[in-house]
Amino acid sequence: MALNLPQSVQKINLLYYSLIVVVLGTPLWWYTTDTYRAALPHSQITALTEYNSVLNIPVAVCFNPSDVQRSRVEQIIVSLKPFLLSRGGGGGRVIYDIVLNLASDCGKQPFSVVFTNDVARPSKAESSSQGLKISLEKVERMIPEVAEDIVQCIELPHLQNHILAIDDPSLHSTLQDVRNAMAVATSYNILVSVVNPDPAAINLDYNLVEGTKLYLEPFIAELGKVAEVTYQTQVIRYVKLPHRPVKSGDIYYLSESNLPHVINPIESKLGTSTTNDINLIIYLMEDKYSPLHIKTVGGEMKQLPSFLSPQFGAVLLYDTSNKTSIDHSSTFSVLLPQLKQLLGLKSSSSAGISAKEKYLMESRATLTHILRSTDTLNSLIRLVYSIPNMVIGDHIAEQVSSAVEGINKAQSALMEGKLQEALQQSSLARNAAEKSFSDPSILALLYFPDDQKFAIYIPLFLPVGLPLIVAYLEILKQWKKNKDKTE
Amino acid sequence: MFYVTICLLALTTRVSSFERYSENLDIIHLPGNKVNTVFSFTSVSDNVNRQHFDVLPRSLVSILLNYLVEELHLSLTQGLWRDNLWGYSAHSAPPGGQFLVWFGGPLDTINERWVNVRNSISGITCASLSALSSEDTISPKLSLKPVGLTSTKGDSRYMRYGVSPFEVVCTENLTPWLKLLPCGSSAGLASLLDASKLYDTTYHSLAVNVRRVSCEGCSGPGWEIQLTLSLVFSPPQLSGRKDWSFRTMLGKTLVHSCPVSSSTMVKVRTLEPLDALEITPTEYEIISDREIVYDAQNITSFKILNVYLRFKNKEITRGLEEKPALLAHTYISRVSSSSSGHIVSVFTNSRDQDIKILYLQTIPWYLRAYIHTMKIEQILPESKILQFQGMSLTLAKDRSHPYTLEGILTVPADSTIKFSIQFDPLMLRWNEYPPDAHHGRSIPSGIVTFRDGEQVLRLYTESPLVYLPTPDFSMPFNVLCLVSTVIAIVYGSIFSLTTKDLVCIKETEVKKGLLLQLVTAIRGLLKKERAVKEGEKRETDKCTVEEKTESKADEVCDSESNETVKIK
Repeated sequence: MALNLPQSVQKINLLYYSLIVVVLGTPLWWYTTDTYRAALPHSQITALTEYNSVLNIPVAVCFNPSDVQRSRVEQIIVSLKPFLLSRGGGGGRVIYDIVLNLASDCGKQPFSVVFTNDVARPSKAESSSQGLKISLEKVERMIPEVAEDIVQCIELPHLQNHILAIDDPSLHSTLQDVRNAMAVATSYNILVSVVNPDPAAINLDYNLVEGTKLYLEPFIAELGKVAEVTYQTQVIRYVKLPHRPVKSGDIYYLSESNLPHVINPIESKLGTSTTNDINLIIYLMEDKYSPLHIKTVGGEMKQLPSFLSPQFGAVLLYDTSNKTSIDHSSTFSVLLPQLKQLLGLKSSSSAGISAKEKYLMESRATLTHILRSTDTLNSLIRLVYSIPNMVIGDHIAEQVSSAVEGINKAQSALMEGKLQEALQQSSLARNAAEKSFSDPSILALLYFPDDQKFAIYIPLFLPVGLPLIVAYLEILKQWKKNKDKTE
Repeated sequence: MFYVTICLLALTTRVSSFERYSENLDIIHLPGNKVNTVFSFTSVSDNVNRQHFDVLPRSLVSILLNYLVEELHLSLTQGLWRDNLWGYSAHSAPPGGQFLVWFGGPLDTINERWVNVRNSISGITCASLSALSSEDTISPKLSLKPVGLTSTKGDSRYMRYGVSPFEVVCTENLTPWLKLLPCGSSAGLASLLDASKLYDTTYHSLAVNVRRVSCEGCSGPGWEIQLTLSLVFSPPQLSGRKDWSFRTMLGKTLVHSCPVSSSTMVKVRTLEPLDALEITPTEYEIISDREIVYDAQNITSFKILNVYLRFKNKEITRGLEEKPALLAHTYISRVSSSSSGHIVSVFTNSRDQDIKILYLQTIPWYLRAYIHTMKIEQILPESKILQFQGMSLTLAKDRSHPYTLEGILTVPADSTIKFSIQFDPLMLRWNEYPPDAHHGRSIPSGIVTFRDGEQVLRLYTESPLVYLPTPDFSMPFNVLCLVSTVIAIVYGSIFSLTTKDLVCIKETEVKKGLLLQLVTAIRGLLKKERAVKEGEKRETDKCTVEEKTESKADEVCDSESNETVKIK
C-alpha cells in the first residue's frame, strides 16, 4: 500500500511529527520521569561557609578610683585592643572578639579584670573572687603580657582547640582535653552504674539514692541551662575484670595499658538507652585486691584507681575492704572532676561549675552547633549536586531554610553578645540540619541504575527518533544536490 | 537522738525503694512422655523510680515510663501448644510474635507511642516487632482485658494488640532477654539455660509480661515484671528413655543461686504417684502425692542441684486421662490460591455442660471477608444453625487496619460447632508483597477465652497459611518493552506511509554496497546451477521495489519492464 502523497505534503507531515515529538513527547517524558527537587537556598549556604562567626566575649573591667583615673583606664583598654584582636583572630572559622567594658561591679560577670595596686607580686596576675587582678605597674610597662594574661584567664586557647578540632580531627590525638570531651549535645543522661563482680561475696549497701541526691543533683542543678541533664543509677552484677590485679609487695596494681579492656565487658551489660549517656562506673573490687593502684605507662603508681575513657565515661575501681556501704563522698569527689572533663571543661579541683565555666560550655556548644550545621548543610548541597536521582521534598527544603535562618540568627546574636539566644537558635538550626540530612525520603530513589533506564527507553526512543533523523538527513542531501545543480 | 533520726531516715528510704525478685522453675509432666519446664523470673517493685534501678531492668523500665505504658505482654513462640494432647497451659501463646500493650496518658498520642514502643522493645529483644504495622494492629473491645491495674479501666481504645505469625525465635532473642535479669545467665535458674538445648524442643515460648499490681504499704500501684520461658522437652528423643535429669534435658546443673533473689523454687509435678518414681536429690518437700518442691536458694545443702527422675515403670504412658473441656482449631478451606475460600474454626465441647466462649478472630484486610456469609452451625451430634449471643465487629480498611471479629457463643454440651466466613483474596500492589511473596501469608490465630471452673483460660488456635495470588514480578518491564515495541511498529509504518513514496527503480540505478554485491554474486551462482539442473526456464518479470524518501520520488520507473528482483 502506498499513499504517494505530494512532496510538499510529505514535508509538512515530517514537520508535524517533529513538532509532536519535540513539543509534546519530550516535555511529557521529562516531567513524568523527573525527580522532584524543591529549591534549596544554595547561595545562602555557600555564603555561610565564607562568613566567619564572631564570638563576642565580654570582659568586665573594674578599677579602684583611688588608684587610677577613669580616663587612664579607658586609654589602657584602647591600647590593649590590638593585642587582643591579634590573639582572637585566625582561629579557624571563628573570630574571637574580646571586648573590654568598664563595669561598676565585677563579681557577677563570667570574666572580669581588676586594675589595682593591691597585688602581692606586681609582675604576676592574680585571680580573686572579683576577677583577675592585674597590677597597674604591670599595665604601664608590659601591655602585651597583660593581654596574654586576659586571654589565659578566659581560657581562650582551650575553647579555640575545641573549635579547631571540629575541622581538624587529627587534633584529637594530640590534645587530651579535646579527646576526652563528649560530643556536644542538647541533652545528656549521666548513668551511674555500680558493678558488682560477685554479689555473693561483696555484700554492701550501694547507697545510690542518697549518694546521688547529695553529690550529683547539686552538680546537675548548677549545670542549669547549658544542656538538659538527667541522671539514672543502676546495678550490674557478675562482670569480671579481664585482667586480674598483679601483686607487688604489699599492694596490688593494674597496669594502665590494660585499662581499656576493663570497659568492654561492662559496656556489654550497660543496657541500651535512647539518651546520650555519660557513664560513671563504680566497680567494686573484691577486698582481696586491697589496696589497689594503677601503674601508669611511666611506671608510676597511682593511688586512686580511677580512669577516664574518652567520650564514654569515667571508671572508678572502688576498694570494698572493711566497708558496709559505699561512701559516695569519696566516689563523687573522684568522678565529678572527671565528669567535668567529659563535659569539655578543664579539670579543676572545684566540684561546682563557675560562671566562667558555664560561659565556656555555652560558647563551645553554640559554636559547635553553628559549625556542624553549616557543614551538614554543605554536605547536603554537595550530595544533591553529585547525585541527580536524589528526591528533595518540600519539607526538606523547609528544614534547610529554617536551619539557615537559625544559623544566621545565632551568628548575629553571638556578635551582639547574647549567648543564651545564640545557643538556643544554633541548637534549633543543628536539629533542623541533621533532620534534613538524614531524612529517609531522600534515599527513596537513590538506587536506580542508568542501565535499567536505557533498557526501558531505547525500545521507545530508537524507533521513534531514528526515522525522523534519517528523513532530515535525506532532506539535507536533497537540498545540497539542488544547490549544486543551480550552481 | 540524732542517730535515731538518721536510722529512721535510712529505714524509710530503704522501704520506699522496695524491690523484690524471685525465681521459679516448674517442671510439669505432660502425657506422651513430654516434660514442660517453665522458668519464671519475677521482679516486683512498689513505685518505679525514674532514676534508680537495682533489680528491675533499666532498659525496659525506661521505655515503659517514657511511653506511659501500663501493661505489656510480649511472647515469642516457636511451635504450637497442643491442648488436645497436653492439656491447658498457663503459658500458651500463639505461634510467632505476640505483642499487647495497655497505655495510659493522653489518647491522641497513642498511635505514635505504639510505634515507638514497638521499635524500642524490638531493640531490646532483637525481635522484628517493628514489622508489625498498623495494618496488623487491633484493639478488641471484649477480649484481652488487662490482668493488672490500669488507670483507664480496661477501655480498649488504650490498648494495642498485634501478632506476627512469621516471627522466628532464636538465641538472638534469648541473649538480650537474659540481660533483663539481675543476675543475667551467670547465676540462679537462668544459668541452666543453654541455648544449644533450648531450641531442640517441641515448644518454645519466651515471654515478657509487665503489669501494675497493688502491694502492701505502697504509695501507688507497684510494678511486676515477669519473664517466662516455657519449653516442652521430649526425654525419649533426647536419651532414649523416659527418665530425665537437668543434665540430659538442659545440659547444665544449678551451681549458684542468684543472691539477689528472695526465693528460688524448683517444683516437679508428675502424672504418676511419687512412689512410682525415684527422684534424687532427696532433699525435697512433698506438697502432694504428685508434686514436690526444692528450695534452691540454699543451694549449699546440695552443692550442685541436678534433679534426676527415674521411672520404676518403664512403659510409655497413655494420653490424657480426661479430655480437655474445650478444643478449638482454625483452618482454611479453599480450592486454589486465586479462588475464594473459607476461614473455618471448630470448637468441641467434651463436657456434659454448656460452655460460654468469647471468640476473637482477626482477618487481614487483603482477605476480603464477606460478613453475610458468616455462619455458625452445630455439626455434631446434630446439624443446627446457631447465633452469636453478642458480637463486636470492626470492618477492615485497605492498607489501614484488619477485620476484628469478636463474638460470644455457647458451645452446647458434648457437641462440636463450626464457625465459617467466606473471603476473597485481593491482588496487592506489586510493591506491597514481602520479599518471599510466594510463601503466602499467615492469618493471626483465633483467641478463645472461656471459664473452666474457677479459672479463666485462653486458647490460641492455629494460624493458617493463606496463599495470595502473586503476579509475575518481571511484568512491569515486559509491559514496558511490549508497549514500546507496539508504538514503534505503528508509528514506524504510519511515518513511512505519510512521508515516503514507494517507487520502482531500475537495478542499474541502485548503488550497490559491498554486501549487496556479494549477495547478487552468490545469487547469480545459484541461478546458474539451477539453470543447469532444470534446463531452460522462463525468466519471470520482476520488479525492484525500493523505499525511497521523497527526494527520489521523481525517479519512477515502469514496473512492467524486465528487471531482476531486489527487495531491500
